[in-house]
Amino acid sequence: MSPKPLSNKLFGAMMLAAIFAAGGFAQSVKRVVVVKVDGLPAYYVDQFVKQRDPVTGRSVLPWFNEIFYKNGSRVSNFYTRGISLSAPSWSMLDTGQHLQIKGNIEYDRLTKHGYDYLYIVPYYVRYLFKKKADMPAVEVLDQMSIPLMCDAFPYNKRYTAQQLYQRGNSWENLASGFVNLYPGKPKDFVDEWSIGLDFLNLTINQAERDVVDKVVTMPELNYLDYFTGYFDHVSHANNDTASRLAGLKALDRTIGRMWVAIQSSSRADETAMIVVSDHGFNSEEKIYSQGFNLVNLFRSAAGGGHHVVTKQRMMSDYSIKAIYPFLPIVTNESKESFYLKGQNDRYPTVLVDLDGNERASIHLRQNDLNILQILLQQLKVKGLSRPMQKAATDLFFQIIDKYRNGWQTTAAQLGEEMDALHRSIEKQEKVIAAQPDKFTPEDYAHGIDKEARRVYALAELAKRSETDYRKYIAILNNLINLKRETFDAKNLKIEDVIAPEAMGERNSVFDLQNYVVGLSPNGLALNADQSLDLEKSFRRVDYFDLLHKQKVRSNVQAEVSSRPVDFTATRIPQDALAEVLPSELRSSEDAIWLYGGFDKQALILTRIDADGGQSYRYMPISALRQDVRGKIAFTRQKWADGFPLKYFEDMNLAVSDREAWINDWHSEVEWLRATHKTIYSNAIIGLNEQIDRHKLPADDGADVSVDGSLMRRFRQRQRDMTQADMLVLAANHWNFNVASFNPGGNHGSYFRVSTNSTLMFAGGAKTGIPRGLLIEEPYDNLSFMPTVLRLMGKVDDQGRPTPELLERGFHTFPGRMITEITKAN
Amino acid sequence: MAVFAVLAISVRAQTIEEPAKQVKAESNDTPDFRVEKIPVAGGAEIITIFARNENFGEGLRDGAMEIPLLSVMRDTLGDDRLENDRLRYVWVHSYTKASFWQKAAAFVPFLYLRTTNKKDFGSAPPPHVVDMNSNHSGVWGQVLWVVFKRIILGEMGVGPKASVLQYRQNSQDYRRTSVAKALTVLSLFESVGGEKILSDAESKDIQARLWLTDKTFGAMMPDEELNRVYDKELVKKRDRRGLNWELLRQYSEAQGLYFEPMEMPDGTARHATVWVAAEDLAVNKGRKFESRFLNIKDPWNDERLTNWKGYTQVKWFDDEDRIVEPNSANAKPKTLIPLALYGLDNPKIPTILVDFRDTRNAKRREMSRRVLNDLTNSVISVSPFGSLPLFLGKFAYDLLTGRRGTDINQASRLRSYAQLKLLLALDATIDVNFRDEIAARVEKVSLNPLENDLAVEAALARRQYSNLIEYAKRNDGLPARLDRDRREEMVKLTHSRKRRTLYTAAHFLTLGLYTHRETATPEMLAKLDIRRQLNYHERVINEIAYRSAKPEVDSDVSALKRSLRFVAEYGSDASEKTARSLSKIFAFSEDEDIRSMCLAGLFEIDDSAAKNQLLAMYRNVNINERWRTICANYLKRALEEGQRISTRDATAIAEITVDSGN
Repeated sequence: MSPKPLSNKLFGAMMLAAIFAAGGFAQSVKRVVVVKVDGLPAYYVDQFVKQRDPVTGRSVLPWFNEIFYKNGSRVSNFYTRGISLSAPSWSMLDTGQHLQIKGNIEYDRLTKHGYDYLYIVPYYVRYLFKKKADMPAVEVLDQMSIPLMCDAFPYNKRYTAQQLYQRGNSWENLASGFVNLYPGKPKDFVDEWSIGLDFLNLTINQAERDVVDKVVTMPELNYLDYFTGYFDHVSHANNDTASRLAGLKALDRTIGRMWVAIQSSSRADETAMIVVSDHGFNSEEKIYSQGFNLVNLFRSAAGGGHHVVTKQRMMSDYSIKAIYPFLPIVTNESKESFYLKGQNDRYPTVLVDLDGNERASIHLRQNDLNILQILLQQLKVKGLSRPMQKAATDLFFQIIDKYRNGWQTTAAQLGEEMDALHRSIEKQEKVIAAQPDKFTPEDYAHGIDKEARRVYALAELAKRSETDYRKYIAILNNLINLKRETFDAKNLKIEDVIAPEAMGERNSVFDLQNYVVGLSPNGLALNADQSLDLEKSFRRVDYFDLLHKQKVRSNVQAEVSSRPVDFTATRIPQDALAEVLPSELRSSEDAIWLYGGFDKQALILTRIDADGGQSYRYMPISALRQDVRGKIAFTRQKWADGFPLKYFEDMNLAVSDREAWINDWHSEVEWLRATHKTIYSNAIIGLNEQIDRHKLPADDGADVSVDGSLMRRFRQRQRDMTQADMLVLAANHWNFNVASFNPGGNHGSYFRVSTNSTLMFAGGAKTGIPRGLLIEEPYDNLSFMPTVLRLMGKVDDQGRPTPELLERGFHTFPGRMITEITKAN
Repeated sequence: MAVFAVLAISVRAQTIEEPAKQVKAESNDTPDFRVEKIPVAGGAEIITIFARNENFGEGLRDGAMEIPLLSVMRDTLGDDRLENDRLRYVWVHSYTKASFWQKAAAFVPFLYLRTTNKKDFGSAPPPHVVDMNSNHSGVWGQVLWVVFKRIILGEMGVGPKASVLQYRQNSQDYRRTSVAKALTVLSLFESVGGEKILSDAESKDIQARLWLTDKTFGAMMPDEELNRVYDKELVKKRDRRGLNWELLRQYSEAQGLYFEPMEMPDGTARHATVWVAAEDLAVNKGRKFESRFLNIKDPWNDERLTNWKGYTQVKWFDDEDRIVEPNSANAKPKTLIPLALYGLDNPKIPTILVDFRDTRNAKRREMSRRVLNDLTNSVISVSPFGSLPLFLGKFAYDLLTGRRGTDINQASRLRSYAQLKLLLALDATIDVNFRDEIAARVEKVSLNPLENDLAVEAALARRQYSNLIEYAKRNDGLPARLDRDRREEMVKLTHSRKRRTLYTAAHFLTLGLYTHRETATPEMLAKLDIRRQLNYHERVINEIAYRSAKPEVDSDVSALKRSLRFVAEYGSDASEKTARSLSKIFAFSEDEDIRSMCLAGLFEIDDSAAKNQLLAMYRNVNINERWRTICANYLKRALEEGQRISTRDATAIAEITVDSGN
């Protein structure tokens, strides 16, 4: 990522330079080795560290014990914030900023563009053909000017392994990994062949060798990281202790080898080794995690007969077509669609992000677009009575008029943004044209070649965005420009006015409770006043109710509920609630509504405190409805068992008077301390992190030109357009995967088992990292990056970056510093 | 059957020398494992695992209370020293030599059915299913078979060739089913807690060796890799099982059927049944049925089910559709008709083992690939490697069926059948009528004329166990075989690799008539003792070298030191791999004793690779001068003593000048 011009940061930089000069940043960790482990729960590691191996008489995980329990510090109550899912969670760990990436895959509601953050094969192929520099998630962050932790270090001072947030690629890793599959002796190779060559861990094993080698032979490196997803992989497939422990032991040996290498290096004293994980894991021996197919539910008549877009083919492991790696977005046709039969290519109406194990984000097409399309279809039918034609046309234009201003604004703003985007593409193309055909060894050593690719890749993405959005704007303008006087439905092509593949804007609660999925079996109906009877004319589905009522036929596991959906969450704009909430409950942010059944619902209210922090209030309610005018009504309930998140009945809620405590506002830290050991742990914070729209990080040095502002608005809009209508949370030991099966276990929910992850520090004598320290204060993954950078003296105690980091595009970090470690220095 | 109830298994260890060790069972329905150890003259013992259950009498129809499952021979050299023990043969008592008529049927090409049971059990002990001794004979056997098939069999015409290939396939499959049974027994036995006569480590080694029987070079796998083999296979197996469990559950659910896992005594489900509720048949009449993965015919439009006269079960369901006791509140009964029974240990998808409406369904699938293979091998006589179109066709076919998970994997089906038979024998919780129904259908599916039915297998197991014990007691029986085996093992102690290769070749070329053996003198026995101990200690060293980052932190240092000391003292014949391991351990250990013993071991190993490692360490300037001096001294001494050293290394060593004071 390119450093930004210093000119706009002058004041801040001078201030920080003054602090720096006063020793505010001084710390003693000069080199850091970060071991990134996907899906490693802290409680699981702890369980085995404390278990004795009868053969050796030592801990079952001797290196965790030796490095972090005896000679380091560990944060036993470290949690993911947001959902316990890899792409979102690593984004916070790797950037230290609030959640912008909220799923392993995201969709743009306007263009159906799929952001696929996990699919690594297309990246490698495109990298091979010099079409890509970074993994997709990194590109998204780059577009928002949010740097990664590795960006804090010059290219030639860092080593990064293959990972989800991978900046650049090194073929050396892959090539060496292949070479090292051959153990050197033919007989050994025959044995390895018989055991089974370890292709799955080829790059992971090589990354370990690289780190072990480079900490000794390349003392100039200040940042090395290593990523492994092996334990996560094993835990998804297997719930038995033997299999999972084998994976954990392999990891233990890896950190042992790295530690030994660090200790033998010339910089052992000033090197810190950190193990961090993105989330926990809900896996229990003897209980298989059961999958529930939401895609089939939405495709069914009961679910609305939608054509459903998914990341991968359902049962892709069993599909020949799925071998082709460049088709991540698939539309699953519904044979039971009520009004879009055979139009699955043009009009999918549900986008589902299922690659999230214990949760799914659901986008439904904007409800009124459905009505518009059905009305157009009806108006094209011959023989529709004149009164019916008139009523249908009236309604059609009433809907357009309702949205006209908003759509016009959107179209106009998007148009401005596309113009700015186009100008930025032109600039990028000039940069690309000026790039050399060949790079010198010096360029390669400094990553200049990758920088060139990066510009190209981002320009290509921008071009695609421009094409897609301009297409959407054109169709939206066609719709806006329809006039009652000249309207002729019969000669109108629907795809000219209803954008194919677009979901439109988010639905309101009313929409989701009264979602139109087709024409009523009796067709359009008229009221006495000859207007269209909205109740009788359309089939409707209440999706909150539908999801809640799902039940399986044969449930063979006593520990698993017959109902796969735990609760559904959605955002309610603060304005919609303003009238129904007393003043002391008024939020300054949008509220979150949790639906666990008609009589078990809750509102999570949020307000910004005087100190800039957030406070939350949980309110048990029932029967929330929104009417067509947007008015919300609900019944407040007294605390009882069974409300979503189940804090009230949870014995681990760490407060003295639970009813009084829960019936009050509390700051984020207070909520975290009180709830983190409950079954749903930090869900209050996590739901807000996930469902809130986070502004792009404040950037004193942001490009303040007109185009810069427009681009910033556009990037914010793109993120907003990935916001789903509903977040569906699976019940315990349920999952929503459809590409394949994860019977061993899953994550993605707010259950503590899934959010509690690993964070451990250890270092040489000069690092000042405490030895044998158990930190029980709860922290979440926003704390990780500022703490590491603080240890290295790259931010101050308030998380403000050094001038050097400001130069590199870093922003102030919002997370709490883990002072038990940083203050020990 | 209670679902996912944790079933306890008890062990009754009964030995001649030791009092019985007992762990009390927690449930009457839980089968007990009794483990028995019987000494064999000459210094060995037979360990036998029996399954016991009060309900077996009814299930096995012969009133017996226990059944011998498998035996293992441990050659102890007649002492208490664990280091020189060696596991040798594994017998599965239901595995037997076929009768004449069974063999004759097994030769008939394209005869895919079980013709008769073995009637005369005879007095011979069972053939072993695996010899734990890691050796190259398995590979040799395969090489010779390929040569025989190409040169001799190829000239014999389609008929004889098809017969021989048919027989070989049948006998291989028969052995494979016994291997699967042995694996299942051992995995069940592993779940038993407490002290065991057959240790978990030994059990894991046996399982690893059994798994390796399917691999071309599996027999050559050194013992120190067995833990890795075990770990990898275990993960793979459980991975498949969970996936199939969930696949079958989801697809049954989606089609409106009922899924029920069938648990083994250790609580794991390796099989599952899919049922349809009789009450649903009318409601779902005309409903579209998606048969993919279930591989059964549409139940909703099947008149046979409407008028079903076969086995049914009434189960009670609560409001949440859970199976409950009949007298539970709000419980509603449903009459369930079994549709199919599946094996869950299959790669990719569950294997249908029993189709309760169509016995031939499972059999057709069982036969499909077998027929295809037999046709191409025996009749068309074309190898995929000799014909590009065939190669491409086979590749496409395998890709298609493999990727889509078509249920035609006969090898894994064999394993599933073997497990199912064991389940039927061990699980007393299965309704007797249902068990009989399944057993009868399983017998009809069998393709292999060498197989015996369930009842005969039980009787056979008892008889063969008795035969084995008798054989162990006879001086010309197992003791004599033990002696022969040891004398064969001694060949390695006295002859070079080249000569041993000649002996092996002679053995195979004479069709086993000639086997070279040494004379068992006390000196040779002492050497054998040392050699076995050395193997044991090499394994310890190699395993630690593979998995340890620093033995002081992550390994049993006292065990390591014991092994290092042994190699330093008696390790002249240790392997090149051990030499590399010593060098590696020296590099990552900081313990003075360990490092000293590593160097002493490298000196003791009379192998050029060991000296090459020492020389490399001597040349490594990053190693402390003191250690390098020790290396130099050892190298000098080795040169003086005329140890094996490469010419180039010898020249280099000759040029080293050191203070001999070290």
